[in-house]
This record gives sequence, C-alpha cells and structure tokens, in this order.
Amino acid sequence: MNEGPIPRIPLGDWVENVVDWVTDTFDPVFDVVKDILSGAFDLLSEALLAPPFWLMAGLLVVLAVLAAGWRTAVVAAIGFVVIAGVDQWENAMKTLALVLVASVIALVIAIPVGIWAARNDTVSAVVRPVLDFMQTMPAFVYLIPVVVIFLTGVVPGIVATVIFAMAPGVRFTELGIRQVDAEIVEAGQAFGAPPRRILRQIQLPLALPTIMAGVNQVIMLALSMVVIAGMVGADGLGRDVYSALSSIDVGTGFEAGIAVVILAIYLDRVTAGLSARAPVAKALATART
Amino acid sequence: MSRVRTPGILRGLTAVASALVLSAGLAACGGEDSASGEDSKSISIGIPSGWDEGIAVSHLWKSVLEDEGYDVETETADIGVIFTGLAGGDFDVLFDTWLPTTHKSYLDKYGDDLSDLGTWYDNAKLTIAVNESSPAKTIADLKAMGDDYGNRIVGIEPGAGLTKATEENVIPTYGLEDMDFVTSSTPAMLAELKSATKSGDNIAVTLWRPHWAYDEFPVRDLEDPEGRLGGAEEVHTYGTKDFADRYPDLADLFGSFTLTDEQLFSLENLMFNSGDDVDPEDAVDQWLEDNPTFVDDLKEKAGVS
Repeated sequence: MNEGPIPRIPLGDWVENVVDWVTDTFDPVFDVVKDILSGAFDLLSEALLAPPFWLMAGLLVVLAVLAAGWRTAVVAAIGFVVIAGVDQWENAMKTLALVLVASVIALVIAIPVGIWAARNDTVSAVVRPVLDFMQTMPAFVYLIPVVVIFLTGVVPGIVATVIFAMAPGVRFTELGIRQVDAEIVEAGQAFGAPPRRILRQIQLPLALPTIMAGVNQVIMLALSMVVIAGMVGADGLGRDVYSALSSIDVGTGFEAGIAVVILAIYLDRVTAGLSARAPVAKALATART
Repeated sequence: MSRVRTPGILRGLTAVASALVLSAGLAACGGEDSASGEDSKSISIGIPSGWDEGIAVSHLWKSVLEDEGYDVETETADIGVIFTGLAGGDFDVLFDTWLPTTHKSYLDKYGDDLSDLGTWYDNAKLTIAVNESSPAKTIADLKAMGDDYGNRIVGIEPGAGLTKATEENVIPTYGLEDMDFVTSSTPAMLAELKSATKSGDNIAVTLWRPHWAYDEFPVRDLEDPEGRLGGAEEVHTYGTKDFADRYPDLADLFGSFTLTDEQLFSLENLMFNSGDDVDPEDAVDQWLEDNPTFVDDLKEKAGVS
C-alpha cells in the first residue's frame, strides 16, 4: 500500500491498542460509571413521565414563567401541546432526561476545569487543544469504542454527548473569569481576601452571566446530539428520527424533529432567562437605564 | 419571472442537446455493438452503508465494469436513501435488494419506478444469533434463559426490516417481552458482538446471512421453529425503471450474475476480515485473482461478448 516517500504511520493500530488496554484495565470502573449513568437516566425519565401530561407540561410552563416571562411560557405551552399532539411526549421526556443528565455531567466537569484554566495559564494552554479535539472529532469516531466499552443503550449516548457538549462550558467559564476587572480583584486583595474568597465572592458572581451563556450552549449542543445517541440505542426523539431515515418515513421524521425544535427553544429561553436574572446581569441592566 | 425562465429553458435545451451530441459521439467511438443497441458508458452504483454483502458485490462490479471500459461512480448512503435515489434516477443500480421480506416496505413505496434485474443469491436469511458457548438452542429458549444473556437482544437500525420482524413477529410469538430489545445501528451491534466475544459474555443479536460476522466471531443461529423471521430470502439486483433500455448488455450480465456461498464469503472475508486496512479495490483484485474465470464464465452465461 505504500506509494511515496512517507512510511505508513500505524496510528490506527496504536489507537486500537490503547482502546483495548483501557477497556480491559478500567472494566470495573466502567461498570460503575455505566450503572450510575443508566440509573440517573432511568430515574429522571421516569420522574418526568410519572405525572400525567398536563401536570408535567404545567410544571414546565410555570418554570418558563418564572425564568423567562409570560411570552415564553405561552409559546412553550403551545409547543408542548403540539408535541403531545404528534404523540412524541414520551420520547420528548426521555430526550429531555438524556440532555439534562449529559449536561449536568458536562458542567460538573467543565466549570471547575474552566475556573482552573482561568487561574493558571499552563492549564489553559493544555486544555484548549484538547477542547478543540473534543469538539471537532466526528462523533462517529469515538462512538464505536464507546459502544465497545459501554454497550448499546442510553449510556454510550450520554458519554458521547458529554464529550461533544463539554467544551463551551469550559471556554465560557474561563472567559468569564478572565474578563472580571483586574482592579476589582486587586481591591479584594487589598482588603486581605484570600484567593478562594475572591473567586467565590468577586470573580464567580461577576462572571455568572458569561458562565450561564456557557451553560446554555452546553445544553444546546447536547440536544444536537440526540440523533447520534439514537444510533447507539438511546431512547427518545433521536431514535424516531433515525428510524425515519432508514425507513424513508418523512412524516414521523418531521414529527420527532419538530419536537426536538420545541425542546430546544424551551431550554434555550429558560436558561437564557435564568442568566438574565443573575444579580450582576440585573445590576448591569439597571446601570444601562 | 418570465425574464428568468427563458434563458433557463434555453440553457436546459443546450445542455440536453450537448449531452445528446456527446453521447452520440461516445457511442460512435466506443463499445461493442449488441443486437439490442448501445449501452450507455457511465453507470452509478448505490452502496448501502452497513449492508456488507452489498458493499462487497458493489465493489466487485465496479472493478469488473471498469475493466469493461465503463465509467463507474459509487455513492454510499443509508439503504432507504438509496432506494429513494434509485427511484428518482440518482443511481442506476443497487445490488442489495432483499426479497420477499426485508425490503418489502421500500418496494411497496418505490416499486413502480424500479426494475428487477435478477437474483444473485438465494440463501439469505434473517436470524437471531448467539455466541457458540451459550446455552440457548432455539429462540424459544430465550424466554427462560433471558438472564443468561443479560435480558437483552441487541438489534440494528430501528427502521430496518429485521428490526420490524423481530419486534412484530419474534418477540410476541416467543414471549420475549421481558427481554430488552435494544435497537441501535449495525456498527454498534457488531461492536457489541466484538466486545462480548472478547470478554466472554453471552450475547444475543439480530443478524442475517450472509454476513462475515459468522467467520469473525464464534456465533451460531438460534433455530426459529415458528418461522417468525421468514424463510430464506433472495438478494436481487434492482435498477431504474429504464435500466434495460439504457444498458441492454449490462441487464443481461446482471441477470446472469450469481454467487455461491463460498464465493461470497471469501469476498467478504477478504474485504472485511483481513485485519489491517484493506482497500476494497485490493480485496476485489485478490478475489478476481483467486477466481480467474469468474468474469468470462459470467459473460458466456449471459451471451455477452
């Protein structure tokens, strides 16, 4: 197969060996991770599906009122009726559970890493290319080793979603903290505040709107992975979209697709509304008027 | 709008005219005469991703047709997309249509715009397979032995005919409702099979013959005493509606094309199981070397010189 001056680099073989080694070595760890993830997903999706449709939709609409106001809530209410009307409510709640579980995990990892990267230039320099890699490597590439490790079902879907959706959480957190006015931080230091307290009481509150924008992005990216999660056996809207593709069923594909859109609009407006309610954002808004 | 339309029509006419001139020119300078007219010299093959026997045979034909002087284009896509494209004339031929069961839904939809060019393999079937060392002998055993298999049956694409047959026929007939039927995708199912083989776990998957997995992994079929997965299936070559008019020679050739188990498995093994990154073209070259009379025999059978 060699034509040309460059010898064949056995990169693929190396990766395969690494994946084999990881699979064998960390097998017990993966089992625990698997149980935790599938347990969390089952719990959440059952909780979302336990109350009847009108009650659950009502709760979500109330949340929308509190977070983003009446207009969003009305749109959400109409959207939920549409989802239920095309018989996708159960799938939508499963997808919501997957997105929430994956987003929470991604944020639990991303925000501390972002804080660390903001306070340490070396970490920042190391983390950046890793994030680039995680965001641009086609999902199909790491999907198969993830299936080998976690088998098919909802767990590989969650893992792949976490890998893909984590990056903006890290980037926005780092950016938010780095953008906090140095003079304010110095003032804190002048009053003798230890670094931890400066982080907690100055940097994080001031960076909160930016961090919340990151949270919003993480959730949106997680939602964009639902079809790929469906390909490895995750329940929900993604499976119906994927199934519609392999059976050329335009109708079902669109019904599941529109449910994804409605969920996306809902999650986007609610998280954006929450970040607009952060004290700093309120103060900025007042300052502008 | 009319201001825009006229040049559009003109452009279209010019394109058609130049295509006619070109094809006439091509026909004049190439190709052997056959009684029924001239074959068009470029052909596009739709390759269904994940359908390995289809991938193998498509590459085989690509190589054979290129040696015959055809300009062959291949495009890989989901099987459903290929049927849509074939009906719409995007592709000329698909070598992997499973009848009577698996692809019936596509033919119900697009059958009027397609033509059946012949059967090249008649020993195909849908199966539920388990690892050699596991206890179950028939699908009915799974009801009692579910625990031995983690209470899971690993399926392929949720829209696939095999998935439908499993969901609608197998599970209700054999009372397997307590088992978790996980649909995912063909690569994911094969990855699970690989992983189970490595770790020595028992596994039940939905599979089909012909498939290289039977050579690669220690799996065997479960008997299907009730025949819920359908009997043996045939693999047909399907073309566009007007295929035989455009490619009279090829229609003869495809009509006479058959593969034995031995031939198909050896081709699939060369292509998918030779370990390192084997190019499909190289696998086909190797296979044609091992089967030197294949093309000539076929031509003789089809009466095509």
